[in-house]
Amino acid sequence: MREDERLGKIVLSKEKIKNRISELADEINADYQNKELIVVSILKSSLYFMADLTRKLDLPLKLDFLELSHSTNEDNTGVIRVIRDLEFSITGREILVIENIIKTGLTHSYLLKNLKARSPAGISICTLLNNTDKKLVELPIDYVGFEISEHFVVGYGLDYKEKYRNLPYIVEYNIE
Amino acid sequence: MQIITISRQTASGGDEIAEELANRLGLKLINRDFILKNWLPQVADEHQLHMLQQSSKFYTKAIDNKSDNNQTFADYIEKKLIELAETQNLLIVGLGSHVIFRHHPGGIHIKIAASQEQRIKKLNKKYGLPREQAERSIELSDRKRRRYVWRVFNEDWSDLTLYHISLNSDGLSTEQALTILMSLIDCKKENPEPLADPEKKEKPEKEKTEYNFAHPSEKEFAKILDMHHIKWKYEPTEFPLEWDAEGNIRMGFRPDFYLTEYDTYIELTTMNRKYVTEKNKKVRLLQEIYPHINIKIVYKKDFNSLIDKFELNGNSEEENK
Repeated sequence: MREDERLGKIVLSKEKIKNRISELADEINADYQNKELIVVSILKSSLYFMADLTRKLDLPLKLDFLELSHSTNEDNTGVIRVIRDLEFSITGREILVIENIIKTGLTHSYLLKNLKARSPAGISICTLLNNTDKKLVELPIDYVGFEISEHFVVGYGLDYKEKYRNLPYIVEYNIE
Repeated sequence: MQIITISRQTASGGDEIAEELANRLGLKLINRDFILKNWLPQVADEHQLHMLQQSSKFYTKAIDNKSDNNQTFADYIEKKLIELAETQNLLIVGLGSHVIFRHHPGGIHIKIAASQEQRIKKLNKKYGLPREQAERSIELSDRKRRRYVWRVFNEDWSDLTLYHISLNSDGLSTEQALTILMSLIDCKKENPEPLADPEKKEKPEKEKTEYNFAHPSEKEFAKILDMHHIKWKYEPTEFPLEWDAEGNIRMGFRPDFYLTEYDTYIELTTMNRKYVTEKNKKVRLLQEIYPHINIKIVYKKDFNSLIDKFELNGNSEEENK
């Protein structure tokens, strides 16, 4: 199968994403009235989501980024580590973590432990996509854009081998 | 507890790096100023405090000459640091803390240095010190630090084996130095080992609990959990599912993993469809009899995508469970 033929039906159109982001922004604006936020984008997939969402937030906020990497040691044990750390101190601050997709919750669980160790005043999670079926660890997610099924999807920041991130919509991708 | 110590040459940028690192990690920062302001006034009078500010030698003097207790100011500081490290994560600047916590399992010891030229420039820029005065100030301050570590701990301050890492801040911005240090701290989370103690007899390496996994996929899954610092137990509980007329257990089910922090059981089904159906039935039954139990099933496809994602060499195809 040619690579582009692997793209399937559009799951979330540009318009649908845009509208839902406006709704999420309204919720966040209401919840964080008169509060200062540090919005943390988990690179790279949440880049577009963060850009679109934060432009609709009517709050004093700072933007920061965090990137995790998975790798394998010689003895085939896995290691997860922060390869791009936050610029700002989050101690005593309200944090809104922006994810593009949460599937099993494993990486997310590591991320939360890492951030909580820095003693923020509060951490909220906002994810554009949430896959409840695949969840292995249940973590509190405060803002969910869409619940999605088990299809592999790309676009709007999500990739397959680093491709398709720049598609303006979210589309199924056949990895078989 | 996590204990990060930073030893630094005068005007090497070590204080700025320490402050920023403590901020980012949310650690309590302890340095000589903190000790002089908060701890030493409890045991030192005005004259003693003045001397402690001026002389490193004074730290080796007994706090109370009249009593039989020969505790020195340095002993007092060490005791307070050790006590605090039992309950709090700390970032300690100087004070010989890299020696005090040399064998602490959660200790990371950092040295920050810089070239003489850079340090002179820094003092000139920060305090307007002319070159000669800056040189003198660096010499005196470094000597004070070196002597303190030697007098109190009988260790050579410049011995690089006392540190996990030594950074030359020449040509490194604070941000770059922080990136390197955060990466080290993150790595050490995976493998928190203290620096070697040459005087200590080699203990036989503590063996990691070896589980007798029934299937290679379980071993791989355990690695994925370890990778994410998720605490687990292997097959800790068997749930009775069917009983005979006399109340004897006829069928039970033992899920593969229990995630203790999430109160969740995980069952892997990386085998043939025939067995999957049987296992699904057991899981359904378990959920009916024990509705309060959280159980998740990881199917073969999901397991394989986890293995792919985390770049582990899974063995899911090897054999049926």
